[in-house]
Amino acid sequence: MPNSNQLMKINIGPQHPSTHGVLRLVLELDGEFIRSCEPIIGYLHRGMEKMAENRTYLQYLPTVDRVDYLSGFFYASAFCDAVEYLAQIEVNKSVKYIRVLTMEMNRLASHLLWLGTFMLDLGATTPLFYCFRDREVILSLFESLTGQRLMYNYYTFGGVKHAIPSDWLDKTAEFVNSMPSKIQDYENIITKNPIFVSRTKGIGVITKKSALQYSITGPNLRASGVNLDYRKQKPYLIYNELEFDSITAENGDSFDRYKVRVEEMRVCLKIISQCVDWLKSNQGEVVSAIKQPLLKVPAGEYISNVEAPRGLCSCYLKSDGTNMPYRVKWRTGSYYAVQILPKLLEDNLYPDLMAIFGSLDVILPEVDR
Amino acid sequence: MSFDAKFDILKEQFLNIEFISEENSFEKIRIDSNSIVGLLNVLKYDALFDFDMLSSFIAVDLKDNFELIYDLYSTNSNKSLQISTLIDRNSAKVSSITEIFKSAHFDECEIFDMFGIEFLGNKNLKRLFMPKEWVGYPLRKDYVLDDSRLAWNSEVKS
Repeated sequence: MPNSNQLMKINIGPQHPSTHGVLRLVLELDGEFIRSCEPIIGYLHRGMEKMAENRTYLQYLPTVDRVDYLSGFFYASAFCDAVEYLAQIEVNKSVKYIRVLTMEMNRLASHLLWLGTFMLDLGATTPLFYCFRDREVILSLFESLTGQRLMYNYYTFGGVKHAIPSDWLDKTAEFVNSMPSKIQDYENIITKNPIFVSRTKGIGVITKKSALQYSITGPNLRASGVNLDYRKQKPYLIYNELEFDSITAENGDSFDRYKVRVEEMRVCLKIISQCVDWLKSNQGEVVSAIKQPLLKVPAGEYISNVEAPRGLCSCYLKSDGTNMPYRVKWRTGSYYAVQILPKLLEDNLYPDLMAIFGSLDVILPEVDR
Repeated sequence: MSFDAKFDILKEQFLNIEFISEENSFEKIRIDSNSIVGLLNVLKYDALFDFDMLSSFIAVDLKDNFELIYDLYSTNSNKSLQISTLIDRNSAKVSSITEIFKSAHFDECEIFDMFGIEFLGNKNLKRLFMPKEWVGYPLRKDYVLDDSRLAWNSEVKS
């Protein structure tokens, strides 16, 4: 028999189904209680930032989607925004509306995947099938628009690659109309489910102060009561012309993070339908006229901010006037969310690990880059 | 209170501080690397500035020296401020800011891993992405890319 006072060391991952990628957590357990946790990352490091320095702007653009494969549009948007700012490329309004439309659909798809897998982590299998059913519709729409289901490579400097197909907007509108009742369905089976509520309420509380101390952003921060949404606070593209609310909650526990994301799905639908309406009545040239392979960006530096599904995504771009970036730095939301884990898990029960970690919506390619 | 007035207050406290506004770049404050902890303390805790979040922490290899950019954000006033400091390439050392912003720990490890900049005062400084035994700092501009340790180069070299 081991000594009852002894701590037991346990490795979770890197190959563990509920770490959503290749995260390794070294836990010290005292019975069922977690006494310390050390996240070890880097298993998925692909050198995204070094790659940028050896590729032209056009060659680097397709790889940008891989920073986070569940929300590729956001990262392409941040990178294009930075390049367009430095190279002084005008982007017309139609392009901006298409970018916002696709990004919000991407956010919805990303939140749906999060909801399904989070519930699966907690032992509920039904929501997974519901969520993937609806996510499939979005991915099919993306496929007919961009040719790809995950790595879209759709934005280019100064525009997008292809114009919108003729009946695409109608199909999207149809999808948007069908969604509210489905989100209500999820809420009906999840929000008041006593098992779900008892496993998430009051668990993994991030206070306002520690959220800021650890640079948590996105829905995780808003669930802690800080109203920071870059779409509202520092509007980019055409967000200042759209009508939407940024969702906040008070307690900062796992349950509130769930609630914020589900409400955000409704906000996404609201934004998508506004964009569809605008695009139906306004048509402009969306395919970029810039000769992309020859693009040289004047020397300078810029930080572009985008509110991605997992928090603030910023892209720092420094150019030295050649056709390759001098330095690219990605700031992502999950990177900081992993860092707060030891604090959240300490002295919590082991079974709460997934109720806490799952609610943070961490995705590893974004952490390791 | 305008930014200029606030900057004058900073100037009284910190001697070698300058405001940089170059063409085609964001405005930033440059300060000597020895004063960075003092400056960030004032910017975070003084109610006049109130920058409560370190939004991102960027290192750039400028060939002669390294530039560190501390990207601050204030949730109350919705303002951003970039602080820049230059570090000598041959003695790449700077004070850690993990006491002020806890989120900086991963950033400091990453910069140590990628640029070899040492953060004095960070007790747990280690390589974050690369293996522990890796030699060299990949994001430095003089890093050799056809490394024989990489799988696709091993046959050519041996």
